[in-house]
Amino acid sequence: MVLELLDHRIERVSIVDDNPEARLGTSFYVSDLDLVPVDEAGPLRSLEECVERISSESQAVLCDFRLRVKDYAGFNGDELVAAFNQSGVPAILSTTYDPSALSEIRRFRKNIPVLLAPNDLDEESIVHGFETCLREMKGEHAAERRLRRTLVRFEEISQHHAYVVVPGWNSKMGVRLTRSEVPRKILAAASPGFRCHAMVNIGAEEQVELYFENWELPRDD
Amino acid sequence: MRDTHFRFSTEIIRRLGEELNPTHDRGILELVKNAYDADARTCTVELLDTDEPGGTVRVTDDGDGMVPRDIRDKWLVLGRSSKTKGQTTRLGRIPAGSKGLGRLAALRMGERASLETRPRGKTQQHAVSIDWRRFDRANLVEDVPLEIDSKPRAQRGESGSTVEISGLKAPIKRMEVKRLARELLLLADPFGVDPSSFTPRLLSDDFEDLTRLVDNSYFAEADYALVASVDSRGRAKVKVTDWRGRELFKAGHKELTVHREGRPYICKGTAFRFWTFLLSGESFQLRSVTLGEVRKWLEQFSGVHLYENGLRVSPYGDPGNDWLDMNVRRARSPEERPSTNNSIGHVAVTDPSDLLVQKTDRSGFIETDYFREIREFATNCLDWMARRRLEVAERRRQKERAEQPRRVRKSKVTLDQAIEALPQNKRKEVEGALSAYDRSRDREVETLKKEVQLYRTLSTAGITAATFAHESAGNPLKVIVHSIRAIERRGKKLAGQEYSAQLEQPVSTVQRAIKSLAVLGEATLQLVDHDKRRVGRVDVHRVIKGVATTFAPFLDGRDVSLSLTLCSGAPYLRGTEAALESIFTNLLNNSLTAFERGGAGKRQIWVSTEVESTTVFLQVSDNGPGIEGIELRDIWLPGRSTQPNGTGLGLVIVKDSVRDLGGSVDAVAHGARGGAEFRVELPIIGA
Repeated sequence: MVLELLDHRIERVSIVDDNPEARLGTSFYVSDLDLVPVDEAGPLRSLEECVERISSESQAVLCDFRLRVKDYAGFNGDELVAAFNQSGVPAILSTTYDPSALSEIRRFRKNIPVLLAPNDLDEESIVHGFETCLREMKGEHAAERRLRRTLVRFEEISQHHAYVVVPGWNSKMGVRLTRSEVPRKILAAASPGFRCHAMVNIGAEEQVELYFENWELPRDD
Repeated sequence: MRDTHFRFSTEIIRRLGEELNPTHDRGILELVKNAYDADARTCTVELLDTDEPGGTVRVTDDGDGMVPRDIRDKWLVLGRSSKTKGQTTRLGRIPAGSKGLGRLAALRMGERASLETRPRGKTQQHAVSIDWRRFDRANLVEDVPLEIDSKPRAQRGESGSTVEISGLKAPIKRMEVKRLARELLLLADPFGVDPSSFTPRLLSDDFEDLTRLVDNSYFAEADYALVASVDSRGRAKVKVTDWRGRELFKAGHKELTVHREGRPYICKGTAFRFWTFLLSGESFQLRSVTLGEVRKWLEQFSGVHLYENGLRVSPYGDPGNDWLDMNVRRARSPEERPSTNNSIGHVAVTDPSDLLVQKTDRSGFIETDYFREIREFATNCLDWMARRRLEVAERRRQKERAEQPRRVRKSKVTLDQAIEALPQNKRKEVEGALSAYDRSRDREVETLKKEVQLYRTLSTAGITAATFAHESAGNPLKVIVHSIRAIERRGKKLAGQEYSAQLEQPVSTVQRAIKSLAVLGEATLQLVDHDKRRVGRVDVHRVIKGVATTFAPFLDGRDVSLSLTLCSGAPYLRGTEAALESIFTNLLNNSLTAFERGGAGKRQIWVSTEVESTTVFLQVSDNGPGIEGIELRDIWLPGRSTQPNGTGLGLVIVKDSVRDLGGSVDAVAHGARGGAEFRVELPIIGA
């Protein structure tokens, strides 16, 4: 069977997860969609090699986040899913919503249109997810994914984190970023009360959906 | 029309001068650097009547001076660097060079500027006078001719130049003068190996004061002195000595670059020296200099300065500048990390090929890879030194812990000796009192030791649970979820109507069981969230509702109903979410555990809050068996539990956490509902 979405024909869906049983569990959804699940047994050596090989074998990917617990891959699912979406293969990232994981993922969020908790995976969300990825590839971003240039205000900077407020999204809720997510030159200038601009998807409903691009230092006008 | 050219409006002079927006000190510094390039040994800056507008700045040097051709083709040419790559001056200096824009900005500080120069080995002297008002009145730059006046000079031997800027547009304020004095003094590394090769001076009292400070420099008082360098192959080495010059730590390239996989540094030839001072009264007691003197000296010169080809580059090491992020790192472990206020550093970069490029406004270097490598090299050295110091501190702490009993024994001996010296009748009395005191202290220590041991065990259990929470919330649970759903889907397709009859119930049972399992993992992880231990504003009701939500499945599972009556308003206090969560969670746990011992029929827990001016009252009561078999005041002691396998720590944690938040807690063995009743009082900021 073939799933036709926006000029894209999906027949085979690769499943990436470091646990074979988990791959099997996920494959049930694919089979029940009448598509062919492709089990990626790994180990996945290099990101580039992996993207190239899988792109030639399948037309879509379901990928778990933590791939480095065993010796399955040298990178995590966020990087891989971002790479797939950038090379034209719709890919969905699956992860439990734990705060530390989300901070890592945010860096790649621009190219991760769809993030699903394992509990939210089902036939409908998978098809809808692939469609969303394909739309974003064409430049059609849903409102909650569209980036807008907006003010970012730093509230506090601690050893590992920077706490910011994005008034254009929610003036009362702080957003916790890990220091590694913020460009060095911004961190160097930042202090409580410091304001700068960045591109943020202020239409996001939940804090977990926010991602930041193109940070700008304030100009000395 | 032929033979036309690009021509420049005189406006451009103003633009070029203003774009760089020099402060007086920056402009003057450019002129001093010109003197350095001209192989001057000394360069003197005089400020005449500069506390009002209209004053004069005079910069005189004893360098090689210029012949008219040099004036015409270099000094008066703007926009092109006069230095050739790789070339050095007569005295072997790598010229600071500039495109002349800095010089222009300096000359534009006043209404008139003049140059008088006496070239080396010649008999003439030459002068150029610039009246900026003529430029203001003219249209084009070329409409204002400049003349070089030459005449024979008095003494043949003395070469040099004098640049004078008069009719200063703005006064030079006191703070600027002080800043200028510091910058001039630091410009050519007065602390360095060869300070006599170039000496800029400012004729002012501030400068003299600073010079005196330099002369009395206190490097020998540094508690740690670090010396590091990168060789021609990009490999680094570093050494730290104490204030006596004795080597403490040493490392080669491999150890230093462990975080960058041994990659060589591209900033070859860079040298880093660093002195850090532990400014405590204690450490200065045995020294010949006072803490005050060293502090005063550090006030002027602290910071990590960056020298390129012998000259200091602003703003590195300026007050408030922390280009190595030292102060941020210090927040982590102030004991073993230097700050910009108690240390002096000196990074010397030899850059004959101009790999470092200054920003046009002279606010530092452009962030190229070369600059980043320099910064990383210095930072790696400081991080390494901090690690080694931390190791030493940790070892010292271990030793102290081991020494403690011995110290106690020693003090005991001293005490015994003192008692021996007492008159006979007093001795018995004191010995008796001392024994009693000893015994109660021993009991306290034992209790504390047990508490610490228990805390450690529980922490480990907590850590393990958190680790496994990842595992259990992770794979097996995921697999079960996906598989049971597949069974549901396929069952419905295959069995149609029969599905509801035969398969629906077992499938939903599995799904419910999954939910219960998932909750444990989530609840555990939520407790450990980093943010919760951060001191800040804590919304009391939000935290209580959060814990109630987390606990809901557990309460359900035990058939306990929770009645939550929160007062109106949103009371908040300053503290950590973790502390408030600990209080409420442990009180709930306490009730749940009590129910296991028995209780009247429908098990219920009542939680309510009340606000009275600056206090919030949190009451937790249940209809369990109450507090029995233990003295009420003993329930707060660690290790006292009514459960055989109880930790006995739950209420200790409540008490400690309440204290952390500045409040108090009280218990009633049998409250109005029959079971135990706890009343917590916490000070709030608002509601």
